[in-house]
Amino acid sequence: MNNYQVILRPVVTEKSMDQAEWDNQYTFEVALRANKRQIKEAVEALFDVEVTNVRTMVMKGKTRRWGRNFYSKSDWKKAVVTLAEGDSIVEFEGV
Amino acid sequence: MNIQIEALPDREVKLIVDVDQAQLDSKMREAARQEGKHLNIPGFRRGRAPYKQVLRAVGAERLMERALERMVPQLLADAIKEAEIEPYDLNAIESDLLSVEPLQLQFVVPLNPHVVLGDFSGLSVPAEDAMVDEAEVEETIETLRRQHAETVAVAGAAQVGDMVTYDRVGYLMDGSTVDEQSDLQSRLISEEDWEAMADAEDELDDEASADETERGDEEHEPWPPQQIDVALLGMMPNQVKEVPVVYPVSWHDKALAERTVLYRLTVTGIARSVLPEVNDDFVRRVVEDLDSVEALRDRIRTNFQMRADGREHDRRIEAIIDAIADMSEVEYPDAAVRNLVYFQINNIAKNLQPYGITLNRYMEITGQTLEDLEDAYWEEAEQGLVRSLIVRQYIEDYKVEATEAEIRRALADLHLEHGHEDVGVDDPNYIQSHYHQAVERVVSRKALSELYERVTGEPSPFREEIDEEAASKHAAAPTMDDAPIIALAPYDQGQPSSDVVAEAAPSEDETMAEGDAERAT
Repeated sequence: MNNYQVILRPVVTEKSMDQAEWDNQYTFEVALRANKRQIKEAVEALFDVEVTNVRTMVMKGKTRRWGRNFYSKSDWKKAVVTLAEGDSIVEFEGV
Repeated sequence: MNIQIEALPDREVKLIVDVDQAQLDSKMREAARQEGKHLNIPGFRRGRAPYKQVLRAVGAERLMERALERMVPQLLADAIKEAEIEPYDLNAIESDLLSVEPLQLQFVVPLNPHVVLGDFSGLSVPAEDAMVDEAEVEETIETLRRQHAETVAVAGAAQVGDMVTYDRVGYLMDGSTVDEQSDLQSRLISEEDWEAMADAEDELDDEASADETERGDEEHEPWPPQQIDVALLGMMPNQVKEVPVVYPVSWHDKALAERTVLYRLTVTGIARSVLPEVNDDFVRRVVEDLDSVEALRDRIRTNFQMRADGREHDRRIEAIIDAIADMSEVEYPDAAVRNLVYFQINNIAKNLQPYGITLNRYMEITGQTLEDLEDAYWEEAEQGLVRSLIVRQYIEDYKVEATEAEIRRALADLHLEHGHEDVGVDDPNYIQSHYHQAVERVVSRKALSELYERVTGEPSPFREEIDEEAASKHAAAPTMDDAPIIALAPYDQGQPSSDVVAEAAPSEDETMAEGDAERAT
């Protein structure tokens, strides 16, 4: 997996923006199969920063209904990356 | 903020304002905060999305628009203050966006009119003869005769002007009856009158031109009611006549269109108006307090003379003001004229309202655009504005003021004129809302009287109106309704005074003979 296959997109929500601003933690949607080491390496390579911690969680796909049929959206993996003090991801602020 | 000031002709100033980027950014962010309150952005509660998210959601253009809406009033106020100018009407200021980066705005600000009265001490406006035309007097008597004509039954043939009572039955060629009516009445009119009526109807028709083309071939074919009237001419009481009437293609009743109907007409009566002889008896019958033809002629002549004098006074005062305007420095912005023009257009709309016609519908009917209306009223409004500016300047220069007694009387007059039955003339609210109007009225009348007297050296008829005591003694003096039409638009409000209403409202139709006769007697 290359870095772009590991880091899929930033997660831009009120909470993630607050974490970025106050805790220097940036949230991304990552590949389900990506592990913390891969995520750390990908973030460091893509944004030229130092990652001090990575927390990951698998988000369960929500159930949806289409008429009388139920289906489930795909599960996806979220990674909250903590950067070293003084580092920041400028691109994240621009989203 | 940097401002460039450029003076334009016709009392206008162009302000070009360069806005700081920081100021714009701050307003854009403020606008984003407001916009964000109404936006659903995934991941954020309403109003919590960051600036860039809102910018992406609504677009930079809309945010800029909102930011400008917030900024422009303050920018304009600051620019006006810095340029040290007094705008005529804030609503008439034109604003333009010259560039976005850097933000540059342009305002064209109309300024208050500027008037410097010329020296009119040597001005002379000679009087013209206000003679009464004897033909007018005789015409009035003729109108009175027509109004008091007696109707008598006639045994002879029907003529133009007679009222014919008749029965009619209409048959189609197959013998079926299509129309059966009795005791119909028709006042027979001449062929020329029928043609005049047809022309007037064509003019009123929405699609007159199309209709003319459609009816082109029928122009020589008289309209069915006319054909019946022509047949009635010359008929005697109890005479029966059959007349074929051809209905045109465009006849509203499609069952009759393009068909010939044979009408059987039976005249049951003919009435004719007989004009009374002009003698002393006639005068006593028509006017209670007169008893001779000569007295009647004198009364009519006197009344006509009074009106002629009033018109001559109006002409003279207008000529005086126009002459002073010619020798004075008068500058005003187009916005001042436009305000008066739109006041008049709004007045038209108001007058049409009771008939359920909107201004747009009126323009459709008359085939005019708003620009056409503007053009039509422009010259008149401009003349009214110049006159009002001259009078206003005179009021300022010569310190014409109203006394409390005069204002009280003007308030009472306004109360009477406007029919304020629900509120007393002493009501504080009434006084407060009409005080300014009353003062305007008094000072403008006084100014007009003074001007008239200064230039002509003759006493003004208005003087009697102004003098409270004199006014009560001279009920027959020319009233202010006959006063010259002068628009008095206060500069500071940009609103015309009620005198403009008189100008815009349709004037009394002096040509109406019946009305003339009543007034003259």
